[in-house]
Amino acid sequence: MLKLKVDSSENAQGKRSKAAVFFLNFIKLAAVMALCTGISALLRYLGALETNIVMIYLLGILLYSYMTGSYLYSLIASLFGVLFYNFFFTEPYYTFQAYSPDYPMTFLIMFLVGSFTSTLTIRIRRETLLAEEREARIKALYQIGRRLLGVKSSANLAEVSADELAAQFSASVLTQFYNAEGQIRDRCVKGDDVFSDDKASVVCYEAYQSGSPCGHGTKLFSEAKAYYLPVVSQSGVIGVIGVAMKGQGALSGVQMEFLDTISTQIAVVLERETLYRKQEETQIQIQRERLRADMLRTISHDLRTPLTGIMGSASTMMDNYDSVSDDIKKSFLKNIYDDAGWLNELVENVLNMTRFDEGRVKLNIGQEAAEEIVAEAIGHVKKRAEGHTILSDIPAEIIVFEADGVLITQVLVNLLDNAINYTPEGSEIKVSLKREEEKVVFEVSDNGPGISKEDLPHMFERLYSRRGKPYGKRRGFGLGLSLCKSIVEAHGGTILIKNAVPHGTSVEFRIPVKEKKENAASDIDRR
Amino acid sequence: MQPLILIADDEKTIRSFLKVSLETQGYKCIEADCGAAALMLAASHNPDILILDLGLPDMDGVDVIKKLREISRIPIVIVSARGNDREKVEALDAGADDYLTKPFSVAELCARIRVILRHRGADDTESPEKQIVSIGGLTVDVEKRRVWLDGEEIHLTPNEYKVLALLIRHQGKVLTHRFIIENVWGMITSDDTQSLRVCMGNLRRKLKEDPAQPRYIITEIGVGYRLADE
Repeated sequence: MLKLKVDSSENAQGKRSKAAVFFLNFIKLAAVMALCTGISALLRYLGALETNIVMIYLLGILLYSYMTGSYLYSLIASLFGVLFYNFFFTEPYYTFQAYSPDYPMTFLIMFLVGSFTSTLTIRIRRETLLAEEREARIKALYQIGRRLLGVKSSANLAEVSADELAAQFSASVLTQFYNAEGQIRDRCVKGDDVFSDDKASVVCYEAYQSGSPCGHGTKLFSEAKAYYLPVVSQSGVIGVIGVAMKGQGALSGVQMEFLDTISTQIAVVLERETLYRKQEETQIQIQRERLRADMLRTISHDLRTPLTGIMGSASTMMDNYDSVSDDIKKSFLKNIYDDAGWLNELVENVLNMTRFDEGRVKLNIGQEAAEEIVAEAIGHVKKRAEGHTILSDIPAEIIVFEADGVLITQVLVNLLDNAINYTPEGSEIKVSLKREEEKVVFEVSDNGPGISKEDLPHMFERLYSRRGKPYGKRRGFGLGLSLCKSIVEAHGGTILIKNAVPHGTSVEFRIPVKEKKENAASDIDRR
Repeated sequence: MQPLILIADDEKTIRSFLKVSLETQGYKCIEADCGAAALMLAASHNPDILILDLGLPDMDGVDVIKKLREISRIPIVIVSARGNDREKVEALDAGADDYLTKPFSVAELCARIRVILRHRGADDTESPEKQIVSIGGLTVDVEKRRVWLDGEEIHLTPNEYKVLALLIRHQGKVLTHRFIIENVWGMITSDDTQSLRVCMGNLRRKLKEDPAQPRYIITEIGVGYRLADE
């Protein structure tokens, strides 16, 4: 058995039971001697040789030494064996005298054999125990090592190591890791929390600062309730392990050694974890930078198109103010106004996109009525869709769902804009709304020409420009649909684009009625 | 007498086009380029409407509204950039009457100003409230608590009526969700937002609204509701 338990009673028990142990061993000795004497008496009655009786006593001595495992008691047993043999089985009986001159020699040899063999027995027994203990320790270390290798994050590591140590020591254990700035990044306590008061924090911090063990059983803060061991890696102290001590005693050498080994393992795993995370972050950073560069390039290109229109119309009008007719002036002004509106829509999408590109987006979740969002979106695009018919299909049931109303409206506006832009005038666009199980389903469909098979799978890719020529003059830069996807996914929903029958395009997205709490601020940009 | 409009915006271009277009509509305009100037001019000239940009350089827009509300009940139309819903709601809760999102059309601004001036005039002349209000086919008898749609009486639940009455009492203003909930349900819990949505939905169905293009109750996504004018 592994003797790692931090037990307050261990030492007290040791003191109290010294008398008890003595008493117990004495009784055992008496019993063994009585047994040997009884058997020997029987043998003598049966007429066996005296040599056998000697053997019986030697056997008794061996047995006793094995039971007690103590050198001292085995010597005493050897002595008693000789005395009993002398008293009961050598003439004259029931005295400590012996007539035959050979007997002193026999007694001496018997004593020597008894003590020698029992010493050997005890040594073997002790070595077996040690071996077993070592094996148990190695097994425990191996098991912990394996669990530590399997951890997925530093928080998980804190949890697992605290769990294992608490199990091994049968005590409350604290594991606490620090980041490079010296702030606590993970903390886990198993068992009673004696690590949280101000004083414990000071001791813990001292262990982190000094890099040497502190607290109970050490010179620093010896009055603390726990022993604090720093976890040291190549780059310095990265954590602290605390083990609560119940009584007065300190950790034994074996326990210290065990703790040291584990702390080294924890340090290695933690360092690996930190490196891994750093590498991953760099990777994401690089990807994000690349994406941002791509986006900026495309956006600036696309912003230039309406800007060229605005500047061109304005400068033409300024230069030729007196020579062009009022009708032409009016049409130029309308162009400027339209292009500015287009610019505004682009900027709107870019703005929302950058919100998502920060990595973590905070949704402004509220209870929204789906029909209000549909109404808002249709109202928003109506001015641009004079040549199109926009129909809506709203159920009698009022669907209230949890979402960021402004963003969901943006999704619908983008889908409607796409439909208006990529269908000829006179086409019909339909927005329908329904509830399916726990999802709100929005669908925007048109009876335009649809999307080619090659384009269909790429529609949600950022910066993908479809081949079909738009009917309207507005060319998207593929930001619209990919933004829609980001928004829908941030709400824990799904979006799907397909060709409608007999022709046309249909985009459908579903948002859970009840927002899952963990989605409220979720990692969006994994692509 | 021409109504006086105070324009508080730090962008010169915006001030100048607002001034030109409002003056062609028959309003008189004065300009302020910062919050302090706006407060001073509002106190000295007592304008009929303040058009306030929330992003003034010297003061927080909401603070301007709060300070102004201590001394005057002048209607305030706020102008703010898109995506700042929280700021808008804060400004409305602080006492602003209406809002416009940049970029806005001048026609829309003029329409809002007309509505505000009309209802402000009504507030001044008639002591408590108008008894009978009609908007399009909708007629509400505030005193008798009865509602007719195209000549036919419709029956509303107490809360539906309360919401409608609240919108009527504050015609020309945007009412935030918070304001409506506080005035109809009393206090705010997260469930009340849902109750408000459902109540609004039912009210619209009873008013036979086209869900895609509401006629009477207009939604301001992320902010609140307003009652349509005429």
